[in-house]
Amino acid sequence: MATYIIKRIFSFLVSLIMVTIIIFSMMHSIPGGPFDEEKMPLSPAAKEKILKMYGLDKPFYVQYLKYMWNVLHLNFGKSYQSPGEEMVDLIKRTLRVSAFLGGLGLAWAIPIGLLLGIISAIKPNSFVDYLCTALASYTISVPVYVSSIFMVFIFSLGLHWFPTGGFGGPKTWVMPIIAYGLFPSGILARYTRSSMLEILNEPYILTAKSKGLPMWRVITHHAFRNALIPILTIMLPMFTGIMTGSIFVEKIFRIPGLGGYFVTSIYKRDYPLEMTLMLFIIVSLALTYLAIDIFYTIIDPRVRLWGKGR
Amino acid sequence: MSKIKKSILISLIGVILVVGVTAFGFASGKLLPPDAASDQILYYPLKFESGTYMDYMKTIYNCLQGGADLAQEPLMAFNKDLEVVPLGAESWEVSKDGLTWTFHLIKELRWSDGEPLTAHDYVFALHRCVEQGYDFGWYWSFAAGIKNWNKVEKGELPSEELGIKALDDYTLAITTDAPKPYLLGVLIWLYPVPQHAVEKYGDEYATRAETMVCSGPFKVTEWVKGGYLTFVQNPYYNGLWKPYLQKIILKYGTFEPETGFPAYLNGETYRSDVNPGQLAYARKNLPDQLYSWPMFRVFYLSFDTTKPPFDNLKVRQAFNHALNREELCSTVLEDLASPEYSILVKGFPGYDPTEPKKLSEYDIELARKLLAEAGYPDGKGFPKLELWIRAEDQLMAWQTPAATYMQAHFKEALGVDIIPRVIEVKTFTDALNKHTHNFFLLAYQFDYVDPSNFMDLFLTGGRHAWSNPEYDGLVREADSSEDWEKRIENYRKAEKILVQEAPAVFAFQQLYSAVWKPYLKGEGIEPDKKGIASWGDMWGKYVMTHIYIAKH
Amino acid sequence: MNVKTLSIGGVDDKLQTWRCFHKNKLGLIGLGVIFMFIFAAIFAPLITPAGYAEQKYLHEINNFPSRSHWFGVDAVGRDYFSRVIYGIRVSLFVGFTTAFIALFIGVPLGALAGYFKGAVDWGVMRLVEIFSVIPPLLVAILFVTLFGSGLQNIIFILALVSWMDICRLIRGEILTLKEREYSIAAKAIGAKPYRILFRHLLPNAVAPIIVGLVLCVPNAIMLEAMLSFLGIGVNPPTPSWGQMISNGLYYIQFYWHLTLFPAIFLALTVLSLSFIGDGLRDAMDPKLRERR
Repeated sequence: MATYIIKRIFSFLVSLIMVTIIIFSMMHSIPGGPFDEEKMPLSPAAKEKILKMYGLDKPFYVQYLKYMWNVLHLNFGKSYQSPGEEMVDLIKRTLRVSAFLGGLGLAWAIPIGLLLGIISAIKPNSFVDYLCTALASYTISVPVYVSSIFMVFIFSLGLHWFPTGGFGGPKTWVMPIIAYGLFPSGILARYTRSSMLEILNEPYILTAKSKGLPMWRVITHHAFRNALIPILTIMLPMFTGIMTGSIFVEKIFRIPGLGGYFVTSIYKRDYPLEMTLMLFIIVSLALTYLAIDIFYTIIDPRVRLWGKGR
Repeated sequence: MSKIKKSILISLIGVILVVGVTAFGFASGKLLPPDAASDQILYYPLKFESGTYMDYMKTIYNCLQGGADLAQEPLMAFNKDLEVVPLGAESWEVSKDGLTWTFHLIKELRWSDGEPLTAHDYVFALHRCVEQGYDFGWYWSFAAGIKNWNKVEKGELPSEELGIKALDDYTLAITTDAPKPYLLGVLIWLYPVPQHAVEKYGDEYATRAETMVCSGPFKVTEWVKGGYLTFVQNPYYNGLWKPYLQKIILKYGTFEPETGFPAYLNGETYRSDVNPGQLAYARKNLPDQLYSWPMFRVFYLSFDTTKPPFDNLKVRQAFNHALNREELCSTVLEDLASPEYSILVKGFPGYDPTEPKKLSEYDIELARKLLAEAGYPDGKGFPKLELWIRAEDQLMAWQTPAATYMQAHFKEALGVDIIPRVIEVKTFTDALNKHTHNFFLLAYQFDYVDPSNFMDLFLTGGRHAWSNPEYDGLVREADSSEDWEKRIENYRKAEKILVQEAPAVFAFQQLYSAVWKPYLKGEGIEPDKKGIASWGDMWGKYVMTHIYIAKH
Repeated sequence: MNVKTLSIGGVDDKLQTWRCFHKNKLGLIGLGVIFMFIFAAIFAPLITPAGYAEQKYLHEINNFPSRSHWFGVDAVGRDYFSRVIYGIRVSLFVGFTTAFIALFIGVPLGALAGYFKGAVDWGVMRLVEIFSVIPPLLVAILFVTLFGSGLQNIIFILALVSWMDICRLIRGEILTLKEREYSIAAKAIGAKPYRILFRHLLPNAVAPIIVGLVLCVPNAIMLEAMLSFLGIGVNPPTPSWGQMISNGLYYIQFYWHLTLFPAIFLALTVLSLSFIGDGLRDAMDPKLRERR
């Protein structure tokens, strides 16, 4: 077991370092920097001063090593886009919003997606199947920004049920939560359907049914458990995705979340924030994959991550 | 004391008390008009990526512009007729050589924490700019021409040698390196910075509501990043423009019309920009809330005249004559733009309505002839061009259709292939300034009201790859003379060179459209001397302090 | 015994696959729609009144659908029906080219990882992890800022973020097939690894390859639509539905036709391809087949 954990951590570190190097290099290769010269060029003296202030006058590898060294001491620097607060505070306040809305979005998307998938798997190629597939299909074939804008026009401007955006009371939560959950629910429904279809055709299901077990019991006790592995592989990474928010939903509903910062930090050359966000994602996903693998062992006793066996 | 004297004394004290209380009661605000609502709260849009510091003297492009307009007050400002109003000074003199301006500041001005606003605050502002590196630095070294700016910036001279000095607490002396008769207009971008706050909190004083210190008519009480800002009347404001409004709430993300217009329709903000797509809707459904006014912003094609193919004058002139500006404006730009043939736009001082148009006449035959003479008959052999457009959200609605139109149009007229490409801001600017690309579609908006603002753009050493000593001489001569007629004469001569040499093809001037609620009233948004009602952000301070909310 | 007849891929098998696919009505409809679109794309010049870049109708800008302009006119005077139909070419081209490039990257890597295991597997999985972790939008924006936008660059970026799924699929399939009798037999008689890989294993892995391919196409098309909203995508005047939709959104309150038509076509294309993919997967899965 110890070798397994060490191997895991080692692999994770390798990936982490590679990703940070790639992103760091790409960010610094783009022309421009955290200064603006939209109307007239900056004088060389002024540019030099600004770059020095940000520590960008040093050679590339020095900057990288310095950044990673600071990270080891949990010092992430300050975002150029929000110099008045520490990086940690910035992440905390935006993450709170993204995770909140995104989490609630998943809270409705997961049950609905699973349900739609299971139902359509039980009666494949039937009318119910087509209905569920149609609903799931809408969510994956219409871009989320189109759905969001339609929601604003229908529910906000048309019916006056909700404000057009912003983040405040519960009324401002409804539409973003729906928007966040659309795509996950659709994807989940599709994967659940195909996964369940496979399982439901296994011999042991036939056995269970011929024993006289009611259908719902067959599903919950036998089928679903075994279909869970591929479903979880799709589902768990969604949590990381939801925390990073969606630039589209945030822009249209004017939500002060984390997703917007991903895009703006590139355009504003906000190197510290971009790197911090990347680190955040890598760590989050690494933990997610670990969780998935642990789930594997719990669900399927044949799978062993370490020791003897396949 | 006798009884009569006592009663006179008492009544005198009474009168003084009443007057005093009334005066104090209105010290921070103005007397409201009779039709004003009881709640004077304005909900106003703010950009989605609203920036970092609420301090124009720290960074111009990254500043929280909407907020800084309310919280900070410059030395001079525009009113809606684009007249310069002295907000910080009560009088001034110019030295005989025209180089030194001495301002006598209004003594009663205070910061929002009670501290007096002195000349030292202005000096500190520019010193900080030149020492730290300021993205609007070119404005002070180039447009204003503050003495010794470049040398101090490079470190060759100490900051004390900079052309801004506080002769005493309320006397400010500004020295330029050449006579600038239009300096007052330039000074609309000179803001004082609270030295005492910076010394206590550093530059980050302007990033939080708790530490922010304001000199303007409003002060910030709440700053929820990504959400909204709340401004209330600044109780220590003793300046000229006391506001009617009691509270202003700026909402993030409602400035861009794509998200801002729905918010406006829903009553969440009281004003919104309108993009061309929404214009049709507004014309149909909200005609009395829709206002349009010409913007002093010119869009033009910029060439790199130092490398082929645009080093050839005939090529540039061919493009100039091949562009059908009238058609471009009336069709693709849906009359939200008016044709321009030179750099000074309609309504701007120095505008010439006749000559440039004659020189840049739309004439396809001539254009084709010129291109053939340059060695590219019917566009054969002409290299494929990429027309770079800067990805500025506000301008895309004009730039993209214009570029697409030009692509088809130049292909038909001259046989040249152009691919429009949208390039993100910093990459674009970098290429422009370093002259690494040869064909751009650009816009320039005015910074102050004087022809020099635009004419100086094409002086040697600027952002454009073109140099013409004759042009330089004429413009510099015009910049420094006192006599308006003489200046215009020189500017006209320079313009002629500009149009004939065609380092740029000037295409159109933008027409700006916005909607605001009918219950917003006041001199701020009433029609100006030309009869146009507008709410431009260059005179936004004037508007915000001269409007009120009527009963509705 | 002929090794080949034991493997999946014979004529009987293909017929069986078609029969199963046939039962999936959605898959059939999807196939029909795609064929119709391909037909329209090929014969676009014949069925459209104008080219996609011809700004002939400058005085009818933003006109609503009418008899002369079935889908109306766009903001620079081009016939919108023409733009949407030519857009089929662009979308299908983007989708399929991306999928093929992803295939070229993913299949060899996956096969090598699955067959050789050990360090090779570890290395490939690290690559997969690195590429999976970086959000596609981020990569796209960084890439475009560095190298510019345009059809080729966009396709390259889309392939870079799509190859991982195919790689994992192939790796899993090869891992399983490796333990089958015929490959052990082949190894026993002394066949070299690459021969085993290419002559025996990969042909049997065709099913997941095809499924992965077909499912990659709609993803690529949707991703391009997302990138267009952010302003990075193909260059004008190339008609891309994603760009048409995001440009049209600005006008949606009034000129609804600018968003509606490309959005419908986008949805139909993505859905049809997804249904075809699902149908193929159901049809080719041996476990599912045994039941039918």
